[in-house]
Amino acid sequence: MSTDPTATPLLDIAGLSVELLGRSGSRRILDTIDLSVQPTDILAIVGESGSGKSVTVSAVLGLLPANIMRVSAGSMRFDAEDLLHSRDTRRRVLRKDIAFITQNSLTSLNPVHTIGSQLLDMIAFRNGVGRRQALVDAGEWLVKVGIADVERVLSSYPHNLSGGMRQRVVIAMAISSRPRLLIADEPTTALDTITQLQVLNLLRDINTEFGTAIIVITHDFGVVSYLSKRVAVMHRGRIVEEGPTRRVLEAPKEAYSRSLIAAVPQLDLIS
Amino acid sequence: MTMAPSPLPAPNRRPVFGAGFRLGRTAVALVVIAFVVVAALLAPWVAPFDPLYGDGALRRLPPGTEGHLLGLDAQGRDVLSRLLWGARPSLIAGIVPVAAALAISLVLGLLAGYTSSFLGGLIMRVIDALFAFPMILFAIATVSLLGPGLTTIIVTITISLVPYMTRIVYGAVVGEIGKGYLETARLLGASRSRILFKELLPNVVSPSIVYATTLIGPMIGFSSGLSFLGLGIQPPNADWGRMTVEGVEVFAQGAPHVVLAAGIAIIVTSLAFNWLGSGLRDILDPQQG
Amino acid sequence: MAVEVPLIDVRDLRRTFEIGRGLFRRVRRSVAAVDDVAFSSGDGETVGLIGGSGSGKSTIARILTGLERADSGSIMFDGVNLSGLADRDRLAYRRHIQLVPQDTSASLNPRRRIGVQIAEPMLSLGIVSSRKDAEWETLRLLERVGLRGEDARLFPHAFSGGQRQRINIARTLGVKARFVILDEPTSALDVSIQAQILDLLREIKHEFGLTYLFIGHNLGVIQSFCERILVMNEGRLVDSFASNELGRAGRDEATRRLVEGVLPIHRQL
Repeated sequence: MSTDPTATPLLDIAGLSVELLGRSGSRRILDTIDLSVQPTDILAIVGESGSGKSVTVSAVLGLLPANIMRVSAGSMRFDAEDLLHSRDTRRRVLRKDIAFITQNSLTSLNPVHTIGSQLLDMIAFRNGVGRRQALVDAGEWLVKVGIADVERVLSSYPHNLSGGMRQRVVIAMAISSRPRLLIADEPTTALDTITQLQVLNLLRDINTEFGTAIIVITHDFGVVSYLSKRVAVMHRGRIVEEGPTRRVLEAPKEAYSRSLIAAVPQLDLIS
Repeated sequence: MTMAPSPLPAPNRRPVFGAGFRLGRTAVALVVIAFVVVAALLAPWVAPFDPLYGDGALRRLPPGTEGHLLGLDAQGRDVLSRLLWGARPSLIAGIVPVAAALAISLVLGLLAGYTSSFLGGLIMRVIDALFAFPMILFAIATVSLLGPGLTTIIVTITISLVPYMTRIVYGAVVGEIGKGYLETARLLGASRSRILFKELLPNVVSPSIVYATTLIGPMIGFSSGLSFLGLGIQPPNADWGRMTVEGVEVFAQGAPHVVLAAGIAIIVTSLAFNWLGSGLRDILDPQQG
Repeated sequence: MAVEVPLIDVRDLRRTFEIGRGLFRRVRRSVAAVDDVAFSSGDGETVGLIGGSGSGKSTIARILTGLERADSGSIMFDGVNLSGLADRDRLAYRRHIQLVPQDTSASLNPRRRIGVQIAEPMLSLGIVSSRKDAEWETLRLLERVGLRGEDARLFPHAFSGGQRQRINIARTLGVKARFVILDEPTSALDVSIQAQILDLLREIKHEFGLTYLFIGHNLGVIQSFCERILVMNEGRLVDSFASNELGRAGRDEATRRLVEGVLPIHRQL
C-alpha cells in the first residue's frame, strides 16, 4: 500500500540532534536525524547497540533523562503540531495518539494486579469511559489481538501467562485507545520463533485493519523484511541509509548497510 | 560473508574513582582522622599539662584562662591535656573491637552462607541467640573475668558486634549465591576455600567495611557508658567518654566547656569515620557509573 | 573405515524436575527436562543443538559440565564413564569440558581483574607450574583472542560484551579444554560482533584441537557454524542430520516448524 509522500506526515522529525552531557563536555549521540512516518506506514529502525535507535524513541516519547541528555537541535512534529516544545501537545498526543510497547512484557505489567484490572484502568484513563464500558471494551480488545480464552486471561496475573500471551496483552493495552502511531521497541526479541511470527502478523493486521502507523525498532533484519514497508539504518547516531524495505535489503547503497546485512547468516535449504 | 574487522575499541580505562566519588569529603575525613591519630600518639609530648594533676584553685575555669586553651574541669585538670591523652583509649575502644569483629564476622558469615546448610544454620542460630543478650551482660561477665579496664571494653564490644556484622556479611554472601562466576569457578577447578576467600570475599567485603566504619563512632560512645558504670576506664584516667560523663556533672554549674570539648571530639571523629566509610565504598566498588 | 571412539558419548540421559504447588498439595507433577537423550560427538567435530525454550538444551549443557547431575544415563568422555565417578575424580576431567555462556559477564567475577581470573585456574588445575608461567600464558592468550596483554589488569566492567566473550574464550583455552560447550555464545551480541566471535571460534578450533557443542536458537547461525545439527523438543532429541541436509525431506515436524519460523531477509522467489 503506497502512501502519498506529499501528504502531511504523521510524525516528522527534522534535523534532530541529542547531546549526552558529561563532566568533560557534551557528546552528540544523535546527529541531525531526519525521519518521517506517514499515516499507515510501517517504518523499521534498525541498528546495533550504540546506534541511537533507542535514544530516538526516547526523544519522541519525551523520555530523555533530563539531567544527562538534551535535544540540542531540530524539530519534532506530530500531525504538524510541535511535539518538542509544547508540553500540552505532548501530553495530549502521548495519551491517545502514540502508544508504545517494549521488549519485556513482564516489566511493563504490574505483577500484583490482574490483567483485567490493568487493562480496565488503561482503557478508562485513555478513552475517558466508565468502568463498566471499559470492561466490555477490554474483552473486545483481547479478542482482537487473538486471545480466545478472554475470561481466563482477564483474571490472570502477568506471571501466569506465557511470553507470547503477555505480549498480546501489552499490544491490546497499547491499541485500546486506537492510537495513530504505535512504537514497538524490539517487540519479538524475547519470544521464540513461532510466537514471534504470530506477534508480527498481529502487528501487520493492526496496521491494515486500523490504519495504525508503526515504528518498529529492531536489530533483526528478518523482522525488518517481514513486517516493514520502509527501513532506516542507524549507525553511531546517524541515519546511514533509508528507503523502501525491499530496495534497501536487496540493493543497499551504503557500505555499512551492506556489511550489516551480509553479516547475518542465512538459511541454506538447498542440499 | 564477514565484516572487515573493525579495530577493537580500547576497554574503558576509568580512573580509580568512579563517577560518584566524593573526593572532598573523603579527603577531609582522612585529614581529621590523621590529626586525631597523631594527637593520640604524641599526647605524652604535646600535652601542656599532666592530665591527672588537678589544681584545686582553678576548678571549672573556662577556655581562655591563661595557659589553658580549653579550660579546666571539675577537678582543676587541664581539659586540653585530658582530651589529648584521652584520644588514645577512645580511638582504641572504637577501632580495635570493630576491626576484630569484622574479621571474625567475615569468616563466620562466609562459612554460614556458603558451606553446608547444617553448619550455616547452626552458626546463624547461635548468632541469633547472641542478639538476645544486651551488651551490658557481656560487659559484666567480662569484668568478672578480667577486671575493669580497656581490655574489657575491647572484648565486650567485639563480642557484642559480631552478631550484627555477621548478619551483614551473611546477607551479602547469600546475595551472591547462584551468580554465574561462582559456578564457573567450580567448573575451573577451584576448591571450596579458594571460592570462599578469593571469589566471594572481594564481593562481600565492601558493604561490610562500610558498615563497620559507621560503628566506630557509636562504639566510642558506648565505651564511655561502660566507663561510667565502672566497667571500663577507671578514674582518674581519661578517655573522651569519661570526660563527657564528668563534664555533664559540671554543665549545670555553668561550665559547659568540658562536655562540649569531649562531645565535639567524639562527634567529629565519628563523622570522619563515617565519611571515610563512604569514600571507601566508592573506591572498593568498581561498578560505579 | 576405522571406528573411532567418540570424544563424548551420551546415552539414555534423563533429568526430571518435580513441580508441585501449594503447601498441602500432595500431587506433584514431574517434568522431564531431559528425556532419554543420546548423542555422540567425535573429536574435532562441531555439533549444533537447537530447540525452543524449555526444550532441555540448557539442562544438557549443565549436566555435561557437571553443574547438575543427571537422574540416569551415562556420559562417556574419551572412553571414561563420567557419571560413575565421585565428585573428587570428576575434577580431573572437569577441565576438559568447559562452557562459554550466553551472558557474557555472568561467569566473570566483577571484583577481580581479568588477568587473575584467566591465570588462576591454570595454576589450581596444575596446567602450569609457576605463577610466572601462568602470567606469560595469560598474556599470550589475551593477544590470541584479540585483546591486549595490558588489559589483564582491568576489571570485567571495562569491557564490552564481545570483549568479555573473548575473555571467556581465553579462559577455556587456558585450562586446555578439549570439549567446549558454547551456550548461545553470541545471542546477546550485535550481529557484526557475532560474526567476529564466530570467526575467532572457528580459527582456534583447529589451532587448539577443540570439539564444539553449539547450543542456540538461531537456525541460520547454527547451520553456518556447525557440521551436524541435533534438534530437541520438550526434552527429547527428535532429529539429527548434517547441516547441509536441513532442507531435505524426512526432517522431523519440530525441525520443519523451526525452519518455518525463520524470517528470511531476502524474499524467496
